[in-house]
Amino acid sequence: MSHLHQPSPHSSPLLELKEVGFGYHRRGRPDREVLRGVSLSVTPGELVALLGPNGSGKTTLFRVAVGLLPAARGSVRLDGRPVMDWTRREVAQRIAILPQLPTVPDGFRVEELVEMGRAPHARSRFGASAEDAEAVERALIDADAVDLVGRRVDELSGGERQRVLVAMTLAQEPRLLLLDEPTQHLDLAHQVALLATLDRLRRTRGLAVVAVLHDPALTALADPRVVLLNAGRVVADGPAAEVLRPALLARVFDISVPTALTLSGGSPRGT
Amino acid sequence: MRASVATRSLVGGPSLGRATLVIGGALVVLLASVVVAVGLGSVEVGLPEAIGIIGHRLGLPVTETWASTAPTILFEVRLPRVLAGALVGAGLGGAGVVFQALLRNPMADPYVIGTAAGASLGAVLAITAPVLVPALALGAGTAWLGIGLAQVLAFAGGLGAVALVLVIARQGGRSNMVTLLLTGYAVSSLVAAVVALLLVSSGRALASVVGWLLGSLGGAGYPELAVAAPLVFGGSALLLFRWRTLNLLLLGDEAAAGLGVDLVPARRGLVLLATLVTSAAVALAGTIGFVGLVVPHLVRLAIGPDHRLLLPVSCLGGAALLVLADMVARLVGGVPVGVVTALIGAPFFLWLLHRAAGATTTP
Repeated sequence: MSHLHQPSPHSSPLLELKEVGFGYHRRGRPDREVLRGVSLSVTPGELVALLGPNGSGKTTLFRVAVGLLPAARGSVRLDGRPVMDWTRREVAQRIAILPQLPTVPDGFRVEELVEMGRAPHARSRFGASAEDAEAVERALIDADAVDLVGRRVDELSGGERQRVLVAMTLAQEPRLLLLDEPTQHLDLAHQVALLATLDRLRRTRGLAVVAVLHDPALTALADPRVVLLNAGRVVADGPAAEVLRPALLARVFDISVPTALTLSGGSPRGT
Repeated sequence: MRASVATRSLVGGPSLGRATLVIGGALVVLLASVVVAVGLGSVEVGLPEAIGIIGHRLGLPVTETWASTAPTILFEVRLPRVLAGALVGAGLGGAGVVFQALLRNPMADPYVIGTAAGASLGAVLAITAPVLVPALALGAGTAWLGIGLAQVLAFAGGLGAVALVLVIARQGGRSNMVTLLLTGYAVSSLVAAVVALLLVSSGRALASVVGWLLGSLGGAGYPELAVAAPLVFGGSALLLFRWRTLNLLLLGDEAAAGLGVDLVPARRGLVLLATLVTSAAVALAGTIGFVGLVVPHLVRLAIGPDHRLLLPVSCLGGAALLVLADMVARLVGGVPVGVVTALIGAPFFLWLLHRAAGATTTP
């Protein structure tokens, strides 16, 4: 990327959702309200952990944020402009999204899949530029996937595959990364390493990251801004220490306070 | 350090050397197939004579050792048939790749969303109409720009059936690929039933109807080739430029869209081009099976799934396969080319599949 953003509290928001509502439809009639007035803005250099129970609207929020689904109410702005006014390619140059259940096609090699991340930047009809090659290489290093180069993606383990997919989204060199459960299938070491990498990219390149995470203890480790989503509403938004309180987690996830205390690392936070 | 060494040569898709080697190799195979197919036949124009005649026609100083009828056999009978085989094979091979990626289904072939059924209906109507309605027999021999009514109606039928499938599949909001596939299947079945109905009432036209349905390259002449070639070449060339989209579609809709693919227009363009190519091929030669389904798989096993190479090599491979299969069909005499492709191709494909499966399980 030519324009490196330094993280700054005064940066204008990269992505800004205001009072966004969305519901899926069945036979033309509204079926289920998934987002009920979500407001969220992300500035360059921010690391945001998105937590919430299953079905709380995290994945839908991502889809609406990149314009794959149109917001029924409210507004979604990317770089100050309604997200639906950008072309798909323009959005892809700014936001990379790692789906929760990606399809990995048979037969491709690791480096071929990672190179697909360069698609939104492609200028030539055929082949890849030196810039593409460098981006792919950087992404492979950042995602700790260099040792997988040359192997077929369909023959990798779940965790190895996840590292390759993370590398693909990094190769896209977006300004905002939306990661839907990026730590799934990863062993403990790779979970910690991924969060450390995201934190480094945030600091050095001004990358903004919104990641769906499920583990409060792991989340606390990265010390991000935490957004807690429940039933389509933002119920808490703030520093990890403020949001990851056992009492709040217990209420949102419908578990007991002692359990929540254990799951969030054993030490009570700001209760 | 390790990273640079490991990745630098690998990034950027197939290296120019590999691409040249693979495409060049496929081109050589195709040219060799064409030369052999032109040189072999039931009449006494052998391979050396064929090469001599072609050389002579190209203005090379070759002494005439052949019968005076030989050039006519070569240029008016064999060559158009071989060229038609190459054209149809290229179209079906390429369109097969596109439909398999588009529908993300290994069982997809160029006929899957209605092309074959629609083209059959068109051709069968053209063949049987004069039998069923004797008044039409007066116009049966007419040709438009030297092209038979059956071919024109087959082409129109292929396009029409796909248009119908697309319209039906789009009802009820966003059409997804499963809906498209199932709609194609349903419409094909319906149209096939009408074709069967015409078939049983076709009387003395039965043989030519069945012949058309099994596929044959015998009916192709230069006028038909001149119309079909731009459609197949033009469509395939435009498809080649879309290799990146085809690769991305394999990642699933959400990931493809996330990487900048505008799904609806991208798919529409691919369906349109692949249908155009398929309809031209079917109009020229009838519904030749197997090529469009299996050639993409054969090529994928050999060189991998990257559409940058998969698409052009499947075109060239499909062309070579059909030229050779038709040669066998001619030499055996009277066997439909579709039967040959399946009889020889299917066991070969099974063997290759078995070998590939073995290769992945051995350490």
